[in-house]
Amino acid sequence: MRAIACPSNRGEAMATSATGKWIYWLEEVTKDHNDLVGKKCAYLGEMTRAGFNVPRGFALSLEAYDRFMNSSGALTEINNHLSLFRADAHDPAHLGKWGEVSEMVRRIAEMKLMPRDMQKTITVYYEELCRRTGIVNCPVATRSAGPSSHPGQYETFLHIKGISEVLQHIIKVWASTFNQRSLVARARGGYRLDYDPIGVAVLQMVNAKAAGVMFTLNPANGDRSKIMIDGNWGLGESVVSGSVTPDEWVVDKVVLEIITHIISPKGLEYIVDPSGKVIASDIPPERQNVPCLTDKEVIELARRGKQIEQYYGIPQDIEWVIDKDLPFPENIFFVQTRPETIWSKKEAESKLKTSGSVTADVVSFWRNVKA
Amino acid sequence: MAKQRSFMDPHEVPTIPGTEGWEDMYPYYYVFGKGKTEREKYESNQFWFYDGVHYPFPMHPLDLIWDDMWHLTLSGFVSKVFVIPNSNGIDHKILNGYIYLAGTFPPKEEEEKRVPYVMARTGHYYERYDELYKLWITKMMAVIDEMKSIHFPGTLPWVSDDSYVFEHKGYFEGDEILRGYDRMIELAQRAWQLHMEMDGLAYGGYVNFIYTMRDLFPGITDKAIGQMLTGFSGEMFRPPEELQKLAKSAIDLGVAQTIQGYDKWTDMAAKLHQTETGKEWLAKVEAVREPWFEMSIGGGWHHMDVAWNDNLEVPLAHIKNYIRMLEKGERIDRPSEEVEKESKRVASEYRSLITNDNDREIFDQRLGLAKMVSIFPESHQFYIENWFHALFYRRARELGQMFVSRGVLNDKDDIFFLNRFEIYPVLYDVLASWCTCVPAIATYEIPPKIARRKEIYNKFKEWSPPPALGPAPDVVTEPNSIVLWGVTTEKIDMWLQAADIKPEDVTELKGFAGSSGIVEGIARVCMELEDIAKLKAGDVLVGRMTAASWAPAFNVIAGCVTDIGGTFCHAAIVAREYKMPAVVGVGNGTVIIKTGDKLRVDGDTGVVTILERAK
Repeated sequence: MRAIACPSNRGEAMATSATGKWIYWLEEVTKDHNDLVGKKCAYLGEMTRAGFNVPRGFALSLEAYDRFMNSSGALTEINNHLSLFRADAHDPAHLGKWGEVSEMVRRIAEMKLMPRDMQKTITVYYEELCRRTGIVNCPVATRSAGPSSHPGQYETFLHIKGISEVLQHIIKVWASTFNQRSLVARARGGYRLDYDPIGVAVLQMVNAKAAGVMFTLNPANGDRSKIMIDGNWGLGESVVSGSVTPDEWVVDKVVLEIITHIISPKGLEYIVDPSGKVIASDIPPERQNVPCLTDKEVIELARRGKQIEQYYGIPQDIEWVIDKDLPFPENIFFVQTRPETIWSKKEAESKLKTSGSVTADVVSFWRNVKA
Repeated sequence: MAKQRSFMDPHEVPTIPGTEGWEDMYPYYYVFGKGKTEREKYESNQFWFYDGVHYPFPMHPLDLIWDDMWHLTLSGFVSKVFVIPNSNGIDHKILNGYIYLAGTFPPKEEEEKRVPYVMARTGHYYERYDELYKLWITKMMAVIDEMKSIHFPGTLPWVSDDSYVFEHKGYFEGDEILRGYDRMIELAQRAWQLHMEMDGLAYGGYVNFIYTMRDLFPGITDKAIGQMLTGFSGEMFRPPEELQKLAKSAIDLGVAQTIQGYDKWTDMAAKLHQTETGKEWLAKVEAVREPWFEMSIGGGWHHMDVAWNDNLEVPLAHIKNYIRMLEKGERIDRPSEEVEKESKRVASEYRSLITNDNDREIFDQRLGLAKMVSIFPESHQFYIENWFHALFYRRARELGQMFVSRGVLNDKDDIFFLNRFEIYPVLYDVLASWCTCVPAIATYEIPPKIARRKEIYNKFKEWSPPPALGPAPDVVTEPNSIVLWGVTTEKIDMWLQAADIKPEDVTELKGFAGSSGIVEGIARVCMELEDIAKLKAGDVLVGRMTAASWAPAFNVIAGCVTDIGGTFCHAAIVAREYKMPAVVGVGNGTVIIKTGDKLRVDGDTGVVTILERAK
């Protein structure tokens, strides 16, 4: 695992910058609020404000994490535990030890109760969300939102219904900062182990027909004129986790036309079972080879992906969901966007050779043409 | 070992029964050898592809002149004038009346020796392309003007004209007529030399840009690239525009109703002459007939492709159609501003996606060159394939008329059954026999020859030329074949596979995505100009290719499918201009699709689906 570059000891900084407000509607935050609510929330807020179709929801700031960890006593207990813990984060043989301590401290956090005032405030926001969506006990996703990008490091919980479940799963997201991979990453980076404030997004669940990811460049070669869309039936987790080979489309970003599509046999999908639990379910053979998106949906996704990229000014890594019940095109939702980090950071290599003049170029091209 | 990728050897293609001896119709160097070993070896080793782009019909012997002209001039400008290092141009053959082409290449070791020449010579042209293009127009107009000045008398006089005597010319009609014929062949050669003077440079600039875009944006469609180069206004777009203006002014002058009542131009003109407004409209027509009615009614490659001026019923039909559309409140002019705007948007968006400064600079240079040279492909056709060819056909018919008057031909159009080398001796025979006052030998020899050739020609028409002959190359490297004829490695693979499938079992055809959009409509297979007149609103035009003068049909149809052509073929360019779906280069659409079939044309993926067969 690569070392995670984090700002210096954020816990200290947090204590001095407390504002008293630690919960925000998405539309209240912008992309400048990474340090306030975490990147994912900041981007979703920005997207909501920019008019992109994002599930409704609210964000808990890093300060909410701080409040919870301090006033519940979790921070002290965890600190006690970890101060005695010794293991080498670079030695694979020690991974087991890291796993054990992670279990332990996670449980400490998860066993704590949400402070009453926090409970009250979150309840007000959740009830308002239910009112806004018109759904009683509106199912939500609780998603982690670190202040810098750590894709896949923290945890996300889907289809959470009712306020007590919501509160419990917010705590679970916070506690996921003590999962094994986060602890190891912090240890390797030389950061505090007992404290790593993140934001949490509480988002209305979309009743997913299909979902997946979209890169607004071709991740294979960095070509900025392409948009790549991967998708599967059901929730996006099967695509993000790589548990199926998804359908894949490459769309030209300028003329918005599908250039290639590969429809793969898709063996399983994540769906919400009648009890509200997310389960992996086998896809019946007759649906396995059916494209999970129509061409119209692919083009519309790409068109919006292009707008999102234009809005942020750099290529994006976007998660999308298609709702089962809503009509096209309101059925297209975005649940995450973040800057693409691999190619955007690379120095752009020259792809063209020139022999110094237009004439020389035409001649040398003529000599090498093939089709 | 991999299976030999090969089409039939040209020498093994059987003669169509009843056409024995057909080879005599064409110059000896055009036919594939029979039993001449050395020559056959070269012919058998070449990959030949059928040129349906220019010749979706078998060749009349005199019409072969155009093919033979560029046979020499394209290759000459490639290997001798601009000294392209790796190409010697294109060799030409004829088989059962159909033209086959093959790229030819110099030995590898010669390439370096050619480089300094090509650099200096093409560089010289690119550096002053705009200026040279203006000069080109002047040179071309001189050829056209001279061609206009040549005339052949319909009959030969009893005694020579006074002027030869009293102006002491020292010669008489015989001299002038022979010279006129020589000169018209020389001018044909000159026109086609001029054609190639700038054509290769233009396509070089074009294709270089295409490949630049493919390097920058792997997988980019040719159509998207084409969009960046579209939206220019060459002379080819003027004739339909003039008809549109005439339709508008017919409505403004209140003569539209009268015009709608006629199918024959002369009847209509006689009626319009009775009113002041009618005369005014006819004057407007006269003002634009020269040169804009010199547009061919077809592609200009066939002697039936006369100019609008020779067949005024064609522009009349177009004008009537435009009037109908205007009266229904439809838009008839091509949305050129939109097209231009979209073209600029596409180019600037791709440009903004280039992340490397150096690449962006090269992109700018090459797009600039491609746009600069793009004027030529869209204008030279008007001067040469349309205007000059129409003049040539007029002169040829004058000669034909003279032959008819001497009993050599039954019909003036029969002259097209003699090739250009055969006409001179007949002409000489006719003139000599006119002088000696005896019947021309040709009166005995030529009529049976023409009758036989007509039989052969009709058999040719029923034959379907195979798309290619000889060994298939692993990779196509000849840029002209790729861009103009759509001959790519993928295409060849498709041709190889298609050999074993029955036409009625095919429900899907794959070609090039010529112009974007998806449309469903009823197919109308258009092989000749008369078929165009039958098109109804919303039909899908299915043709071997489309001719420039078919452009007005694009106002009526909903989509277009062609057998032949790549992304830069006429149909694709026009369809993009008119923003309608087109799939080009499907190979054998005119065989598989029948008029009345219901089609889906997907101009985004290049797929044509036969949804329902005609009952």
